[in-house]
Amino acid sequence: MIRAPHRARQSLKVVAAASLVALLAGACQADSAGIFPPSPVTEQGVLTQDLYRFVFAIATAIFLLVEGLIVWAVLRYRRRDDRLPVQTHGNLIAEAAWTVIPALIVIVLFVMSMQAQGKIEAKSAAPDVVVDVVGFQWQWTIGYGCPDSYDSATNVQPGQDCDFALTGAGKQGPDLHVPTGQTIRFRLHSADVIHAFYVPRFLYKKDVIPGRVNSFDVVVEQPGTYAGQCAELCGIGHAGMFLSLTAEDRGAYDAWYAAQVEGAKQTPAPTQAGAFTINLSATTAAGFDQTAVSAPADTPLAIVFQNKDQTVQHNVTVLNAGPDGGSAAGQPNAQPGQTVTYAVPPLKAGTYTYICSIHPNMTGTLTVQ
Amino acid sequence: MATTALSPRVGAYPRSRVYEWLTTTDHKKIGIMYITSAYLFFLVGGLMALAIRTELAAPGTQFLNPDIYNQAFTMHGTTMIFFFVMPMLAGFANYIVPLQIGAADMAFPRINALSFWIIPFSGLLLFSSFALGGAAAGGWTSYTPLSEAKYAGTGQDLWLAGLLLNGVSSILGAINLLATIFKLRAPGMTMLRLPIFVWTVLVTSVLLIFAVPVLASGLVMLFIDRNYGGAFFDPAAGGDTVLWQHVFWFFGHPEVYILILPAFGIISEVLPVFSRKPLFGYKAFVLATVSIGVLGFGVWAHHMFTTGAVFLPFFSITTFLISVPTGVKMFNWIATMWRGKLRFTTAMLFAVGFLASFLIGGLDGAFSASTPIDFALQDTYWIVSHLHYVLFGGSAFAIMAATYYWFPKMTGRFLDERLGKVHFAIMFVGTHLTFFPMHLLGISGMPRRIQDYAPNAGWQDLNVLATFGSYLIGFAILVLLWNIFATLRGPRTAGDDPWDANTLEWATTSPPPAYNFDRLPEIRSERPLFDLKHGGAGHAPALPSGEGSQP
Repeated sequence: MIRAPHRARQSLKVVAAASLVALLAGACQADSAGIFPPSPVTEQGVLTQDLYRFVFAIATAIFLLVEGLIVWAVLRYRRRDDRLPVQTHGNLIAEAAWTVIPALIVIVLFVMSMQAQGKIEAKSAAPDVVVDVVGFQWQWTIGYGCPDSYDSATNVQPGQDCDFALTGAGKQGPDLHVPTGQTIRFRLHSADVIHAFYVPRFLYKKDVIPGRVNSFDVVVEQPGTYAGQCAELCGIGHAGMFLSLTAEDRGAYDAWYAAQVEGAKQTPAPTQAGAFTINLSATTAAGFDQTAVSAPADTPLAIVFQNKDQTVQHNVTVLNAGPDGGSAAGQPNAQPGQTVTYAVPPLKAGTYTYICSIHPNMTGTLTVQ
Repeated sequence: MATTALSPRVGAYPRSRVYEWLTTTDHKKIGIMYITSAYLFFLVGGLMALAIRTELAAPGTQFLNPDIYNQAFTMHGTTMIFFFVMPMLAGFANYIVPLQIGAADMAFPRINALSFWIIPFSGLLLFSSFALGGAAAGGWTSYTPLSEAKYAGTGQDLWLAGLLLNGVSSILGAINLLATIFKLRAPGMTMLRLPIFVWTVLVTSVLLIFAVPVLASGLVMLFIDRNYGGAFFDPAAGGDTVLWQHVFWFFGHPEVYILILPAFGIISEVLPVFSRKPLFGYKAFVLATVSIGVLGFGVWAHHMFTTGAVFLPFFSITTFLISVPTGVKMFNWIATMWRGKLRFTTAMLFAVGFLASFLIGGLDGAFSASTPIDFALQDTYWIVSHLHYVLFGGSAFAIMAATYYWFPKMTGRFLDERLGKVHFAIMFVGTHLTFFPMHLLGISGMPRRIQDYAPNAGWQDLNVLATFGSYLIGFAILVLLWNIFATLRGPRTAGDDPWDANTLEWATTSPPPAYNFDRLPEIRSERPLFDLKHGGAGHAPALPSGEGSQP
C-alpha cells in the first residue's frame, strides 16, 4: 500500500514528460511572448536586456543543475531493499561550498545590477525634450512644453501653461511623439490614485504617485510606434488605461510639434453656458433611483445629484465622457443628504454609462441624442 | 515495530460531539478545526481564482465585469494568504508541535481555542462585504489612495476590520506556540533536538509577533483616514501615500516567510522519513531558518523599487543575500535524499514536487532582486507567476504533503495512495501549466490585475493555457476531496507509526489520546523514535498518572 515504486516511477515519467511538453509549448507558442523581454527600443532598455540575459544564463545553469540532482536522486535512490542506508548527518565541506558559492554568485549579480542601474537611472542635466505625464482615473493627459515649476508641482493640469496638451479623447489613449536619439525626460504626476507609466518596449516603468513627481530619462533609439499602459491597479478602468508612443526623427517630431501647437490655439475652451439639467438621486448603495436618462447631444450638461442615502457618500461619474476620453464629473462626493451639481462637457450622440465610482455596482445609462 | 502498544483510549464523553468540538481546548481538535476551516476557505479562494482565469481566457468581458473582477482578485489574494495558508500552517503547528516535543497540550489551551474561533468569524466579517455593497477591490495590498474613502466603499472597512481580527488570532497563536516550545518540551528535548518543523514554527512565531502589529497599526491608520478624517496617507493634507506601502510591506515581506517557513519544516519532516536518512545538515538548517527570519525584515522595499522613493542598493543586496540560506536548504534537502532509500508515497511525491516547483520561484527572486530587471517585471504577470510558484508550488504543495503525511496520525486512516498519486500528477502538471505561461506573459508586458486585454496584444494563447491549467488544479482538488471523503468512511488501518518515522508524534496511538502520551521514548537526538527502533534506546520512565506533562 505504501510502496508502489514501479507505478510511482511511471507516473513521475509521465508527469515529467507532460510538463516538459507544456513548458516548451508555452515558450514557443505565442509570437510576442518568449523567455526574453521584447527587444528594447531605448539605450537604457538594452542595458536591462543584457543584464536579463546574464541573470537568465546563471539561473538556467542553476535550474538544470538542481533539477538534475533532484531527478537523479529520484531515479537512482529508489528503495530496492529494506536495509538501512548510511546515516549521513552532514558534511562541513559540502555545506560550506553551497553557502559560499551562491553568496559569491549573488554578489556578482548585485554588482552588475548596480552598474546597470547607475546608467539606467542617470539624469541628464539638460534633457532635449521634457514630457509631462498626468495619470488620472482612467486616462492620461500629456503636456508638452510645460513650465519648470512642473519639476516639483504635484497637482498639475497641463493646459494654457504648456505649449499644448494631448488627451485620449475618442481613442484608446493619447498619442505621444518623441524624437529618436535624444534624451527625453518624462515627469510623472498623478491627479488621484497611484498609476504606473509603463511602455513594455522600454523594459522600464515608474510609478505615478500623488504628492510626488517621479521622473526618468530615456533615449529612444528605434523609430516606431509602441504601446503603453498603466501598470498599477487604479480602479475599475485600470485595464483600459492605454497610451501610444511614436518615436521619429527630430525633423518629423518638430513638424508634429508645430502642428499640435497650432491646433491647441484653435480649440475653444469648453463652456458651461446653457447647460441641460439632469436630475439624479440615490437612496441606498444598491443603485441610483434613475437608471436611464437622456440628454441632447453637443450641449453642456449639469447633473444635479441628490444623495438621499443617510449612511454613505456617493457620486456620479460618467464613463468615457471626459474631454480627454476619461470619465467626467465624479468629484466632489455628495455627503449623506447633500446635493451636488456636476458639470459634464458637451457629449456626442451615443450611449454612456454613469456609475458611482465608490460603488461601481450603481450604474445607469445616459442616452445622448 | 519496537514501540510499545499504547492501550488506553479516551472514554466516551458524556456530552454531544457537537458540543465537545465547539468547546474543546484539546490542541488536536483545535488543529483539525483550523485545518478544516482553512480547506473551506481554500475552496472559496480557489473558486474565485477559477473565475478570474475564466475571464482572462479571452479578450473582452465574458464573465466578470471590471468591478466584480477587482473584488474577485482582491478577495482571492486576501483569502488565500490570511484564511488558507496561515490558518492551515497554524493548524498543523497546533496539532503537531505539542506531539513532536512530547507535551500534553499547548501552553494556553483556552487562548488556543480563542485564536482558532476568531478565524471563521473574521472570515465572515470579511465576506459579509459581498452582501453590503461590494467587497474590497484594491488588491490584497490595498494601496492608498485607492483604498481611501474617496475611492473605496464599505467593503474596504470590512477588509480592514477582518484583517485586524485575523491578526489578533495570529498573535495569540504565535505567543501560545512560543510558550509551548520554550516551556513544555519533554525531558531531554533540548533546543537542538527539536524537530525541524518545530524550529520553523518557532521562527515563524517570532516573525508574526514582530510583523503583525505593524500591519495592525497600518490597518488602524487607514481606518482612521477613512472614517475619522485622518490624513496619514493623504498627500493633499500633508500625509504620504507611500507610507502605506512601507508599513504594509514591512509586514508583508516577513509574511512571505511566515507562509513558507513552516512549509520548509513540513518538507524537512517528510523527506528524511521517506529517504530513511536524517535531515542533512540539521544545524545549518536551523541557522538558515533563523537567518531567513532576520534578513526577512530587511528586504521589504524590494516591492517598491518603481516608486522612486526607496534606497535601491540596500534592498537589492539584502534581497540577493536572502537567497543564500534558501539555497542552503535546497541543497540540504537534495543531500538528504542522496544515497537514501526513497519511498514514493504521495506525501513524498508532493515533497519532491515542492522542490522542483519552489526552485523556480526561488530563481525568479534573483531577477526581481536586480533593480533594472525589476523595473521591467514589476507589476506584470511575471510577478504573479513568481509569487504563485512560491506560494502554490511551495506552500500549497507542502500543505498537500502534510495532509497525506499526518492524515493517518489524525484519523487512524490512510488516504488512498492511488488516488493520491492521481491527485499529485494532475496538480503538478496543472500548476506548471497555470503559472509558467504567466512568466512569459509578464515579460512581454501584460500588467497584473487587468480584467481585459486587447485581442491584438498576442496574449490570448498563453492565457488559455493558464486557464486550462487552473481547471486541472481544480479537478485535482476534487480528487483530494473525494479521497478524504471516501477514506473517512473506511476502517482504521493505520497503526501508531505507519511511515516508519522519526519523531515523537508517531510514538503514540493514531489518533492520540486526549493527553497524548502514556510514556515517551528517551530523547537523545532529533530522531527519538529512530533511536528507539535502531539505536537501542529504551523508554523513559512512564509519566505519572498518565497525565503527560500537563502544566
